[in-house]
Amino acid sequence: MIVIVHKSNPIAKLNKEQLTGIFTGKYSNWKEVGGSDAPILIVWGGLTQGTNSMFVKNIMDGAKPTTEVIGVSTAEDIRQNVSVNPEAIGFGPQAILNDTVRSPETPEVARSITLITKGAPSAKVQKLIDFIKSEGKNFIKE
Amino acid sequence: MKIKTKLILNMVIGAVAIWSIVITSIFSMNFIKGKLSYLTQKSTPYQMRTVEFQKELQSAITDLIKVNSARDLKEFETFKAEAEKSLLSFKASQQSLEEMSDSKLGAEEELSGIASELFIAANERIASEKSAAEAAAKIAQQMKESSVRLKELDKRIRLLQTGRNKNFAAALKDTGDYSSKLRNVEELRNLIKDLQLIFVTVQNAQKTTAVLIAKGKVNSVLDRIDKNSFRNQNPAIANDTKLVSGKLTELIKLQSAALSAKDDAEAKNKVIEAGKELSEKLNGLNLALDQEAILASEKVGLETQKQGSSFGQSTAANTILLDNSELVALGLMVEGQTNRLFTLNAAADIDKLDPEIKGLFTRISSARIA
Repeated sequence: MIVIVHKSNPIAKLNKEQLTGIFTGKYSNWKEVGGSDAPILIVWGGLTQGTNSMFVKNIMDGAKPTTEVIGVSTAEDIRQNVSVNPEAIGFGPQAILNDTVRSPETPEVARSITLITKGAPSAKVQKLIDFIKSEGKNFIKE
Repeated sequence: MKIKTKLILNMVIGAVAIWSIVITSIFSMNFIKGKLSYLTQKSTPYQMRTVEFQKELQSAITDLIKVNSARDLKEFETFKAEAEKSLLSFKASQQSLEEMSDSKLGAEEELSGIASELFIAANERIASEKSAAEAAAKIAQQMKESSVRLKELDKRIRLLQTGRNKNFAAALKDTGDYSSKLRNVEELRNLIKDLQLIFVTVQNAQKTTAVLIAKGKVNSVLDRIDKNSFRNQNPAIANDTKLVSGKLTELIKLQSAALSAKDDAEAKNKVIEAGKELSEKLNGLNLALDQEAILASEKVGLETQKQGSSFGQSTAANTILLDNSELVALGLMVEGQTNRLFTLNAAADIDKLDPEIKGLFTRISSARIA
């Protein structure tokens, strides 16, 4: 999971408390968390519920998020909205990050990957599982 | 003994003696005749006639064998004449020998009978072979002509099929282009409606946070509008969206100012005036996009119909091509089987081939109907 801001946003680091303050609406200006004097605009994905609940549980310690947000649907929408609004902040799965946005340093939040097969895996699926367990581990951060 | 008795006895003895001489003479004559005949047969002229007779017989047999091996009618006639001549010579030789030996040989009559049968059989065989060769040549020629015609037809249908496929591909591309245009128009229309919604939100905003959020949404929508290919290919629409974008940004600023300066009537009036102007622009843009969407939708419908027609024609051309290819293949198979027919030796083999050829013609009939 990753937090993203606009490319022009100079904020370098955000801790749990700051992130909680931002996403609960306690902080409404970037200068309150060490950034420039600009209002904070939160982008919240409606269809990224798994990521949202993990963020609320692990970063916000269960605090209630603010409703004064730009409500969007998918992780891609989150990225697009953050990329065009200098005051914006959002979070989503690791894959959300690309060169249109940037990610400040934040506490790491990860979730385990669960693989479930319906019955015994086929030869091809078994090959994938074997890859994930061996060479694929190099691409997974534990 | 009386004289009379003696005389009678003498007469009897005399008669017996005479008869004995006569009988002995007859046997002797016959024996001599037999010996003479044997000697005659063993004489040089008789032997020469016999050798000549054998030569004539061999010559006649050789000529008859030649007749049997004749490959065509011309050869048959030639060999037959030679054989007939040989038979005449053989007949003369036999007569000569018969006269010399004073006995009937009968070899010539028997050989002439055999020769007559051979002439008839050879003649029929040659006539049959000639008919078969003529039939084979005729069928081969017809099959060749049919193959040429089928191949020509195949070529023409391939051209037709290629043309139809190109038409179908063009129709498919056109449909894709118009579908894409319609999709872009619809997307732009939705984005403008989003702007309309944000515009209302901004107009009714009571808090700066709401305006800020609205501004963020506007930025997102304008970013998407900038990437819309229909907007970028249509200068009038691009100009209108730019105008709307500017007016909305201005409205957001005015509303932010109005919310900051509470109870400022002038600021609120500015927001209302800007809102009226923006509303008109948004309505105009919506109408224009509605028109574009209708036109694009109609065009897609027409192109889809055209594509269906082209697809049908292309499919028909493909089907014809397939059927014709099958006809060409079947024609070649018939040609092959027919040629095979004239190389077979046994009637049983021909009988076996018959259903195969008939089966091919049944398939040809089906392909022709298709």
